Amino acid sequence: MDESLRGKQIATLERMLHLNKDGSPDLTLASRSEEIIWKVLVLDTKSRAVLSSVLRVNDLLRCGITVHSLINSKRTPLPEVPVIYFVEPNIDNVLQIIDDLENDRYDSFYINFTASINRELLEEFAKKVSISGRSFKIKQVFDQYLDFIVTEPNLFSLDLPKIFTQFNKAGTDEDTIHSLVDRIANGLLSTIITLENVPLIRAQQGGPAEFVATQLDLKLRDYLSNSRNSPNQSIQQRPVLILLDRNIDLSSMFAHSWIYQCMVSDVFKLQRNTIKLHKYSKDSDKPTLTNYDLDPRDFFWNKYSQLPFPDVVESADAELNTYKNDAREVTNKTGISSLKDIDPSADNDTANIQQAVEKLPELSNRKTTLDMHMDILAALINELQAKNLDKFFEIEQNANDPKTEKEFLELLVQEAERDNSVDKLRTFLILTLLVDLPKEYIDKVKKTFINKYPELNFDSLNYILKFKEHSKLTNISALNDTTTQSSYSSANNNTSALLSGLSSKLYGLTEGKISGGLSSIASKIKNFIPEKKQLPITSVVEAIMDPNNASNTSMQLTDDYLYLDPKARGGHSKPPRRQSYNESLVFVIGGGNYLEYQNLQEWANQPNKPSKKVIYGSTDIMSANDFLLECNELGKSS
Amino acid sequence: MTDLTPLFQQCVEIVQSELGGGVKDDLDSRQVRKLRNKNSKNYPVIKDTFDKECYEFYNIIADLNQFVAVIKSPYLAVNDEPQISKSALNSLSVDDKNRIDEEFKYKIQQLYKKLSLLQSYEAKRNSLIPKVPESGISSFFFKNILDDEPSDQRLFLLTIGSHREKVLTFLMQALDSVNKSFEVIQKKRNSREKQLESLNFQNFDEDEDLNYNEFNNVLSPIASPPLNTLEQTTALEQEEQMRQLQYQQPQYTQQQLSLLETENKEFLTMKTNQLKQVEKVQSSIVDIINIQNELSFKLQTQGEQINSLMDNNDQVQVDVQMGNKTLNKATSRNKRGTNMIVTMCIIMGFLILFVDRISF
Repeated sequence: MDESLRGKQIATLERMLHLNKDGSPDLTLASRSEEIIWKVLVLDTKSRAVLSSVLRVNDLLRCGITVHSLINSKRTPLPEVPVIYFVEPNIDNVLQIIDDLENDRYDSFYINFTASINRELLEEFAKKVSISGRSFKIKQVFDQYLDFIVTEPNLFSLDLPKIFTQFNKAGTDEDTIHSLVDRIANGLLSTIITLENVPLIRAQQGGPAEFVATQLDLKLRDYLSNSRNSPNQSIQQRPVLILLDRNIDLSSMFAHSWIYQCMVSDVFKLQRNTIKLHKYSKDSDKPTLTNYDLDPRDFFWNKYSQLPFPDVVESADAELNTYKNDAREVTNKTGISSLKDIDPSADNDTANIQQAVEKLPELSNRKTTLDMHMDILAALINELQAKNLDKFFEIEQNANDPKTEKEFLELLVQEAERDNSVDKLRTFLILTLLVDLPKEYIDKVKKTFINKYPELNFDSLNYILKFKEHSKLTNISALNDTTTQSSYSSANNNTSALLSGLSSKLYGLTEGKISGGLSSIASKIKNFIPEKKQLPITSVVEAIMDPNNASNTSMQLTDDYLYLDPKARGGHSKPPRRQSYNESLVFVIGGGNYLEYQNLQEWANQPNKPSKKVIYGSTDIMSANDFLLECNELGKSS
Repeated sequence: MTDLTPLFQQCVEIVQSELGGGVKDDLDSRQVRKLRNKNSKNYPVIKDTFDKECYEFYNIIADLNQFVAVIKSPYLAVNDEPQISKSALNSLSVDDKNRIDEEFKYKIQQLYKKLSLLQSYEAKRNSLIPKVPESGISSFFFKNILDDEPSDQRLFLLTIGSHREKVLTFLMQALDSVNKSFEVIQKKRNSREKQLESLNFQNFDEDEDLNYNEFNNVLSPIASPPLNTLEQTTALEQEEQMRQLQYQQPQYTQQQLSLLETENKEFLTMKTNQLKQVEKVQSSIVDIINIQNELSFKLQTQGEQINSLMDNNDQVQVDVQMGNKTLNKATSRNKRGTNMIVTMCIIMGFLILFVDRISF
């Protein structure tokens, strides 16, 4: 079984679709005769998001689900068919289920809630069911603890938008904060239960992380003390849950990145494993929109999504060649290629044709995946060129260099093919956060901005400036200064052979739509392949998980963190111990992004050290533009 | 996940006992079905045996899968000696295995046919659903009056149509997987038997199988060219064994030595015969290929000649037509000319006569 979080979620979902029985959920294998094979699935919006990120219609069909619909849509009665509900435990859904029950819409009812249903609601439900007189129809009621969305193998999101805004706004009242904290704690509880291993909790003090940590501790103790929940696996080492606030590092939320996955989420939209591309053609101003679905078994994405962009382009080409070779091999085998094929008694011919027939679907799947990624890469290259994204990336990587300030000013006045004012603003915000810019410089930049882009919203800039002053007092930014020096270098020296071929291959990929500008990009890539750096979040995680190798400043910082142990009897808040862990769950309250995820995965899978398992999650995985909008709102209100 | 079902049932019982007589008696499934039949106008039900047949189909597939799992090991087990005692329980003879193959294939074909029947039945039933009227003033008015959503019955028919379609796809996938698993073990068995035959070819130790092997050996060199390496390795092994044997027992009596020598000579002649046959076969194959090539070449030239003949034919036809045309033109012109001359002659004759008459 796939041991990642995504694998576990898929296993739980498939088990639920198999009516919570043991045995293989893939019913097309027909390993034994079943009584109930074909079912209807009813979802609500939240559970549909959870399900559609990891399972496709074919997977559902293999588990025996023929029809799936939303609980609020008009559904037709199918009196002979059993139904599985997978909904949130709220009163509307319960009333809808009661309505279906009274009208005998389905044959037997299997009810699964995404999170824990509270006692009063359950009793209310039972009361209504017994009044309807059809309680024999309800065969199962389960709490599945699955209200989190998993897209990548170790990345999850609770899909709670605008948390950062609400926690940092001055006017939020205590009740709202309390309910938000409760929801976050519930989501985390579901994640922990799916992982089946109770972690130790370390939380950053002085912010929402502390509240969430205490709430979560209470909930875990409740869950464990419940006699029907028996936690096994006490032999395994316990993981650590690290709760952090978004304040720990705002610059990575705005950053431009060179990694394939981050670029796709930045330039296009990557949500719930669906990519929404927009392509601009030469004739029209409006872009054409295309949607692509990412399957969890997409071999190209799993292999190459964490690599930097030029490597991905190279690999795409290599994969295409492998595919062409394989296809040629298969077609050759079915023709006469040697003397032995004339021999009538050998069944080599039929064996070869059979092999070809078997390999054909696999080959055509590979081709579709490769085509999809080629399309995405071509669109990315177009956007890269049109918005000069590589320049922003360069500036952000060299933020400490005094020359970059001048470079940025020049870049600011430069025109690009398409409007990249937002990218310029983002780079400027990163510069403000990472470096102590002189006041005249900031004013000059502001004036240039206002002159050039009068419609651009600058509230976020005000917020960031205020935040920077505030953080200077509380010393959070100390991490950023140290990390730029503590980069661990992995040899990423691309030779010229790679890059000379690069421009021609890119040209070939995009069917000749790009002309001369490409060589300039290729040369820029050549000049600048970044060293791999550690983001602040990675150094915090390192300090907690592997104290022997971490730097001193990060150790000092994390020693202040709260330490809670839900399994320990008696009081909480023992003094924190320095201990190394192999597994961890990192959760950021307020927003997360793919860049931090990739950075953490890189750190966890360093080549010469034993690999650690790091699962990263947040209240919402958002792109830089979304976070910019939140900062705008914050800047406006304060 | 946590199972709340017992807790839930408890709550239901508590509520029922608390409310006592105020609650309807818990209806059981039969009563619900009666209620449903009474209100059958509201719940359209398609009365056919589709569901039952699909479940039976699935159970048959599950049985087949179990069968494949059970016979897998005896099916793949290979018998070294052809005269195995029939009383051995868990082994299958070659005839048994062939019969299993045939019957399994036949059963699978039947299942495929049944599935296609079900699919055609569904297609026919779907074609009976009345389509929404697309044009016409009356439908325009109706559309405004009625809901935007399709009517209940139409929605039901559509949903049950897609439900059944998915069920049939599912059954097709299950059938394919059973078929594939059987084909896998069939392939394995075939390849193992082939390897075994080639090993028999090299088997020196079994004297009683000489006749059987001779018969086999004539065919097997043709049948197993890709197993050359296998033969070579087994030959090497055999040589090793021979050498070991000789080392272990250096003292043979004269009689045994001569016996061994004659046996060796026989084997040698057998081998050379086989080699000659193989060479003959190879040369005849090469001849056949050459003849085939020549035939094809000749056919090709014939084809070209026929093509040129046909071209010539066409050309001739065209020429003849043109010729006909010109001839016709010429004849018509000639006709006109002769007509003119004849009339001129007659006129001149009359003129001369007339002039003659006048002059007298």
